[in-house]
Amino acid sequence: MNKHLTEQQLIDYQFKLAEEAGLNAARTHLAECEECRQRLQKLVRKFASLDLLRDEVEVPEDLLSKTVEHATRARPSRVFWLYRVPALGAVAAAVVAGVALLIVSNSRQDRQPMPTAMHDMPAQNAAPAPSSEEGYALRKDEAMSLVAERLQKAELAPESKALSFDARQTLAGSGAAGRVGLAPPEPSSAPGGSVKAGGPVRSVPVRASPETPYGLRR
Amino acid sequence: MEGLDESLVAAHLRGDPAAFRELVRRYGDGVLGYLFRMTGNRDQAEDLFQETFKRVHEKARTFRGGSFKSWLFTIATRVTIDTARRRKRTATISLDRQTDCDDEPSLLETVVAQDAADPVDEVVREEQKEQVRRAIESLPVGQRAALVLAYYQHLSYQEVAETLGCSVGAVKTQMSRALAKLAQRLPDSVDVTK
Repeated sequence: MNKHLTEQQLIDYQFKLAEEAGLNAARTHLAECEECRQRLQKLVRKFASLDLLRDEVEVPEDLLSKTVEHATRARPSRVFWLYRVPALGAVAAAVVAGVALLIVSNSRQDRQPMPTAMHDMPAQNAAPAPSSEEGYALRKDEAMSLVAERLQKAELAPESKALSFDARQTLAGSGAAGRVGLAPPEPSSAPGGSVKAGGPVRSVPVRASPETPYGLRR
Repeated sequence: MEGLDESLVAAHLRGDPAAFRELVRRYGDGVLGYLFRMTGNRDQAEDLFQETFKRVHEKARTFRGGSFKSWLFTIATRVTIDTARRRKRTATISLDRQTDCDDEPSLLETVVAQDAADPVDEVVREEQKEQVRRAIESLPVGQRAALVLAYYQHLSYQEVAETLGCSVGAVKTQMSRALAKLAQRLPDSVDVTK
């Protein structure tokens, strides 16, 4: 007969903690050794006392509710909040969209193109910056009225209200272009022209660009 | 079983509050029993119970499938160890059960009040339970966790290893040492049929 099993070997055998070879050896020994069998039974009874604490522990309903509340209230993630409160997500989206629109709108205002005549005007003909917003607001007919008014003031003949191209060129040359921005509607082949307004014919420089259509500019 | 657990976790992550409640209901008894055996104190176990499921709620996204039970007991074990360390550092409050129970009625008074069939037997039984509880509490936390998980929570050694983050061999070693100590500290003969 082999040596008796130690207490540790008996424990390992009982709780299947040993390797397969060790378990087989212990099993073989126990089959032959009454003394070791009795020691094993004593150990089993001792460990049976562990079952005294095997009482089923039940979670009372109030603890369960408290636990769920405690856990869900503790630190909800932002994503979780958005899931739970769809309105919050919608409000957040609306705010973001509003801010984006505002930025785009401001950006467009800043980059609003200059009137065509201004863009197309050669550098040397570029008028000085307007002193007021008047120039921006002028339309063609308003510009024409202003020209007529100035012509009247200059004691031009009434028929000169039907402005010829030359008259307009004159105005442009005399500085009105800086205010009104009239430019010839059709290309001019010469840098100069004449005015037939009931008075002496004068040659005046034409400062408007030939490529420029009638222009509204400052 | 694991599929259902994973479904509940997924539903919880989608924001379904009923899913989380169901998880607490399914595993609550086991977790509370585990924590009670680990601490030996019902109030403390309930505190740890709440803390455990709070962490489950917070860390559900880190669950990568597999055994939810192992994952859950891993958290419960971590909570227990963290709390024990914290209490050890701030050892100004005694955790001694005897001290805590100074004002409580004696065991005999409790048993009589419960109208037990045989008060004397019941007192003996309660004393033995207390002895077992103390024997388990005296184990190092690693051995205690391995024992409670394997013996009381019926986890396989493989699951215990996953829970404690060690090898199966290490779990068996812990178990073997724990049982050897208990063999010296447990009462000799107990009738557990009552």
